[in-house]
Amino acid sequence: MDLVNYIQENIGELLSQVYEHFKLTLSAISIASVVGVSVGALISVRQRLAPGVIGIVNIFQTVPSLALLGFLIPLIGIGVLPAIVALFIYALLPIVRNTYTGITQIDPSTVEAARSLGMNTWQLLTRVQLPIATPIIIAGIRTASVINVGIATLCALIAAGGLGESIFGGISLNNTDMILAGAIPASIMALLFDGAFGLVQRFSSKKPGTVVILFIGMFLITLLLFIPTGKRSRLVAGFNAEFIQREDGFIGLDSVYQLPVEIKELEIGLMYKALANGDVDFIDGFSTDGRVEAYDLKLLEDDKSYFPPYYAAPLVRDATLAKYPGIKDALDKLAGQLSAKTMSNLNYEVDQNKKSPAEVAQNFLLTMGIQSSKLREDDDAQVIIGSKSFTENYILAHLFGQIIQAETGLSVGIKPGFGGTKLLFDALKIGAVDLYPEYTGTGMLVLLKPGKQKLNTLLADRDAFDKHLQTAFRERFQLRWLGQLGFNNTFAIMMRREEAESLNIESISDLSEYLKN
Amino acid sequence: MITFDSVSKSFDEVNVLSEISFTISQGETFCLLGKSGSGKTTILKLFNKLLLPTSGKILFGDEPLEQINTYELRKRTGYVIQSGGLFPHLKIGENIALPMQLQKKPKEAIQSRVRDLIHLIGLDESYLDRYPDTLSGGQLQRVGIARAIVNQPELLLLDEPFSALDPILREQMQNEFLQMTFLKDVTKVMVTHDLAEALKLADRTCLIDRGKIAFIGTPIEFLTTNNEAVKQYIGQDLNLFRIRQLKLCDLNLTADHPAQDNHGQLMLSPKTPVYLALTEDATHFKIGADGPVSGKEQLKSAFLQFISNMI
Repeated sequence: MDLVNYIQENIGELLSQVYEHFKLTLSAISIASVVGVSVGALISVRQRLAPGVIGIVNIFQTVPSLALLGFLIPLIGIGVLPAIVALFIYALLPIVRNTYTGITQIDPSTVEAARSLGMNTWQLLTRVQLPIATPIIIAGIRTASVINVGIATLCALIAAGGLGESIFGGISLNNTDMILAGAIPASIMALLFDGAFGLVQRFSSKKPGTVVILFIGMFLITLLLFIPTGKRSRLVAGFNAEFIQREDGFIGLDSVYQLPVEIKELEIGLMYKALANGDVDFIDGFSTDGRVEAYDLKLLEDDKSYFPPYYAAPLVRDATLAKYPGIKDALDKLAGQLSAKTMSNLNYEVDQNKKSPAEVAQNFLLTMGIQSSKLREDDDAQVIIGSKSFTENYILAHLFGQIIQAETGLSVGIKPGFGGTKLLFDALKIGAVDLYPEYTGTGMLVLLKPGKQKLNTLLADRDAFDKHLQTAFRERFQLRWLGQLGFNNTFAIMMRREEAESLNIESISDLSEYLKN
Repeated sequence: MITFDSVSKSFDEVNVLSEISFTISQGETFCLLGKSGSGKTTILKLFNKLLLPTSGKILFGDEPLEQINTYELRKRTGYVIQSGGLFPHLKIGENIALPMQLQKKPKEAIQSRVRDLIHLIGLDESYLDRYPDTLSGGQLQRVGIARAIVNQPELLLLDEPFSALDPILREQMQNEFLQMTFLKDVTKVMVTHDLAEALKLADRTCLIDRGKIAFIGTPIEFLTTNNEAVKQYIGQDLNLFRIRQLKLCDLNLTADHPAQDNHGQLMLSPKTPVYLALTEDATHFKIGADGPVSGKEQLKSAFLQFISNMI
């Protein structure tokens, strides 16, 4: 019943996500249908081109969708346009291939009969081949549309909106209802597309001409969907799903500072690049991220001390510590060893100098006088370390693993790249991983979720904060926080240095002033 | 009307047809007979430039074929293939009308022509709105013919038009074909591997053997020649072989008095006594209980009918 409540409370937001999702899918399918059928028809007439063209379209299809979205950002930025381009590319293969197959598998004697009536190539194509191939072509469009509804959820990560906003927000916020509120409408939409095109497919064998009207209709609807609505704010914010939805994220930030701004949702890994490219004007970065330096970004001062502390520390299962007590001593050697500056440098090594996290961790341990070796992705290892999917967490996971391996001789395996706090934390609770690098702020706000009053008292006193965190985790989850590493990787609002300086913005209050005017 | 003059055709340097020569006159029904792979269908496709000859000359009327625009030529030529070759996504009426639409004829003209044709092929107008998959094989074939002649072509090409039908329906369609008087002035070229069909329908039949013309002649010439290729082809068919043994043309019979003339009587089947009269100037012919027929044309068709029934 929580799900029903969630939907009731967020119906407006959900409907606009459904609308955005539909808009992305339909427009990509409309364009891909016209282009795909044309290309398919062309290569059926010029058959020598067929293997090459189908090969190329096939290769597009094999590029992982998130990689393709990332690849498109430097070319066409973020938002709806690259999302549609990506969806278009994925829709192309089934449509081109089905058009080509549909035309070439027509009985040769039918084609001969048509030629013998005096038809030229164009008449043959439009009056005989395409009409007869129509059900197969529609089947291709049907497949493409179902694929596209699924892939469109990923487009939320590059600020194109859609139901992915709920799904990824829910994953990062440990909110199952929110995930379902995004996933269920997406499934229903996929079924509706499937059913609608299935219907078209059935009557299209007798009335292929009406399919042309359908195409034109799809295009007109697409155009209608793109009539611009609303106005743009002076600056555009790019935030990740977790930050937008969290009480201690934008919602709280807005109530403290007042930031009337247009927000685009962005995947964490893509945010910095989008900011550097000028697609957005400020983001919620992490203060220790290596790209702050690389892209010459300016951290705005949190002059009202809004953001809670995010000290990094190993979060370990009690059961693991009981079994291998040496782990605690090993990890405690790292306590206090990493300043914000040091961590930022390590991140820079990976993000900009393209070194592997394992290598960076190894080099750092050498400066501490510890010889270590790299970890394997081994499920049978004695200790399994997890990590979230961003640079700093990768490096810390390798650091933890290597120092345990070097100091205790235990075999350590790594499971990197969990796509959100919820997923990784659940894995820790059930023992699929033994430990991972977590941040105190996240532990408090996302995992413990104390009431607002309690939180305010805790935020005022750092010792009380840490103490509550430790006891609550031991009691509720049988987990333990080991020694904090030293740096505070808090959220930070950041802008391009150039723009910040030209607008004279130093702090978040300055930004608020600028937006309000 | 149409002349082939030493026409040869090769695919990838393999000779499929060599030195084909014949002349077909207007209104004639000309059968291309041969086993599969003999090259008979290849010849048919040369008529409307679905294929082009490697060497030799084809004249359509007085015009060399290569000088006639391909699309124009095909509009002057009807083409019927096995089971009609109808387009499954078009209604019967639309199928028949298509060649006229391609020529951008006025709508009213198309409609009245299509209505005329559907009656000519013995179907009623309710069929115009049906799709091909709701018609029987014989009906499809008739519609195929209607579509082929909708533009009133000078030449009608038929590629094994009846071979996909079951034997009873095939015979029925052959009989109907003979009665399609609207085809009388159209020159018809038909490909078949069925000797009985050729003898029944054709004015002249051309036997193709391994890409060469083995024999050209009327049905009677076919049945009486000593040509080795023809003998071999007929030899495959026992009934026809027996008829040959009777040397039909040598018989000098008069009808109506079968019992009186020992030379002229011929009993072909013990169950249905048949009396044949066939001489150069024969005027009578009688088959079983059908009663006497007279006149040279009727005589000829009754005779061929009889032979095909025998086979």
